Amino acid sequence: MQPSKKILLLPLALLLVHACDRSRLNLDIAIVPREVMNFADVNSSRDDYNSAGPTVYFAGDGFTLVFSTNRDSNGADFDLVSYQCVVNFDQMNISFDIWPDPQDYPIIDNINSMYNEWGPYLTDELVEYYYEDEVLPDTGRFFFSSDRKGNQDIYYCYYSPGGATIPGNQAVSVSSLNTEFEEGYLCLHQEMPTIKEAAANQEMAADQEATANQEMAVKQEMTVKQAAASNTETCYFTSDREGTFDIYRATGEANRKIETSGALQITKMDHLSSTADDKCPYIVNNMMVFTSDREGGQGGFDLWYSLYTDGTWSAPENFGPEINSEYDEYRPVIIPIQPDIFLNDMLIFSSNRPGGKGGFDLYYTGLNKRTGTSFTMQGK
Amino acid sequence: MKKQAPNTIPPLLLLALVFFCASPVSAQETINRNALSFSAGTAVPFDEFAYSRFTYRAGFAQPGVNLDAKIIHYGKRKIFGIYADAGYAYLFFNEKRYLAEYERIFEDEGTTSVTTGGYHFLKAEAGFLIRTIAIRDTRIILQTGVGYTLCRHPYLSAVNSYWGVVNTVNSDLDLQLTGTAGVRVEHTLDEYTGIHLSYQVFACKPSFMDRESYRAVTFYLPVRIQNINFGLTRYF
Repeated sequence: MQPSKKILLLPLALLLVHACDRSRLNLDIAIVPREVMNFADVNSSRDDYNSAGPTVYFAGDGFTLVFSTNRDSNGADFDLVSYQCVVNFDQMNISFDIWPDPQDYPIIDNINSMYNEWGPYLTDELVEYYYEDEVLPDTGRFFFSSDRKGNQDIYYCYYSPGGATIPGNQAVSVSSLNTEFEEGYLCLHQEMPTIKEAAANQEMAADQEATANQEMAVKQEMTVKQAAASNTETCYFTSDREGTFDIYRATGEANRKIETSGALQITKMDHLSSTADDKCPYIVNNMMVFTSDREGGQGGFDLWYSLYTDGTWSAPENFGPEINSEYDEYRPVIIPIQPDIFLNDMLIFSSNRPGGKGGFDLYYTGLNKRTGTSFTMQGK
Repeated sequence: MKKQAPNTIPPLLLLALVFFCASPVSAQETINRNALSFSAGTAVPFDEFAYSRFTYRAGFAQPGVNLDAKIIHYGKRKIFGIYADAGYAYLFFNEKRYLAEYERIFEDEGTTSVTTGGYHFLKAEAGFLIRTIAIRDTRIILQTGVGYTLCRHPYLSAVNSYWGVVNTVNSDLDLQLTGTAGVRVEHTLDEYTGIHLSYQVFACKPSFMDRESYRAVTFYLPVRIQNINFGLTRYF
């Protein structure tokens, strides 16, 4: 090609290079809409409820959703199913969507039985350093409840990433929690540092950097490890052992996980419970959400929340009419999304309100992240 | 039997030949081969650059002003020429529509306020032009060129009383390859002076950095502007 022709083609080539482009964004970070949306792509004409998702921040692209449904048994019994949910958010058009895709989650096949399976709760953190329990690396715990022995009890089993089963690892009853009454909906509570503590830690870290005193840093690290090693694991669950369903807290033995602790310290959370039924506690960071048909709601079971500050739970607050309805709202779960990606978290719950596909359906909505030790309620 | 059509010049070709190649007969053909022109007028965005919805690559640009200076050199027959051009354009940002879009998205979620600026473009280009024969001392000049434009994206900010700061785009500069095409109607007043009305389409695709967004993305803005100018020409 002649040099003159090459020169003429240069601008065209430059323009073509710029053909692959991105648009100006209208939001710095994404937002889960506040509108309550029917999770239509996962719902069926049967009951779909008791969901669970990641309990630690996920990166905003996708998460595993597990929930209980009686769709496959024509309403006869509830089994767990799993979906891989891809979050699609457009910061330019400001649109939000979730694309769920049924996923093969072998652990669920291992758990499901001819009886009911409810209230799944997954942990994905079993690479722990300060517990004496022998666990396989890169495994998580899968808690659920089932009535396979007559009444509803809490069970657990270990699983590998991707939902793979661990050979020889069958679901086991958390016998130290279970009674002849109904128990279910276990969730763990890992206390998050308060703002004050976090600030103090930051200050300490800054001091360390300034002095560059390695010896002191090692000493402090050992202190932290010792403190962590004396940690006990705490969980919350529901039981009707005193007549109505209430929320209970169980604290494990020092240095042991909840399911392997022989003697648990179980306390009824009078502060969170009422004379009505209080069920399905679910904790992410320092926020507990649960369902209750106590007075002061919008009708039927409503969703409530409480915040953990300085070692105590705040008085439960109703989520209000933006989320609750005169029908039942059940089993709320918080899907925590990385704060630098999403401005808020997601709340998934079930409801038998009209407009769904039938029975209980799953719904999702945006939920403000906690800021410091307070929580801004939507619309308040 | 069909009659053979005579071998004649197609009418359109004939017209084009007359249009471009007829001998200059008007007085203005005595003008010099070089010209310097200045013009000013309005700059009107179009296409996606003027879109004012949160849709693909919407620019939210509103009409503004532009200034242009051009130096022209014609060939011997004064039909073809080359030019060099420098210009500046300022386009307003459609703040009202920008705010309306956020209000549409957030509905009753608090109140939203936006801060916006305007688009600045400083261009330098060179190109070719071709002019027609004069009719009553008036002729049409077609032109096209390429060059570079320094584009400045305005600072944008949107704050919602419920969500807080929802968007910030810092002002940013980019030097970008540009292309123009236009038509100009020029009327010669005397041997040295003329006036003209011009219409020019300007296109470029600058890239800017949105440092405040998650993962600090670079975005491209397809700039499309129509300049409608009135100006003076000095022949020398």
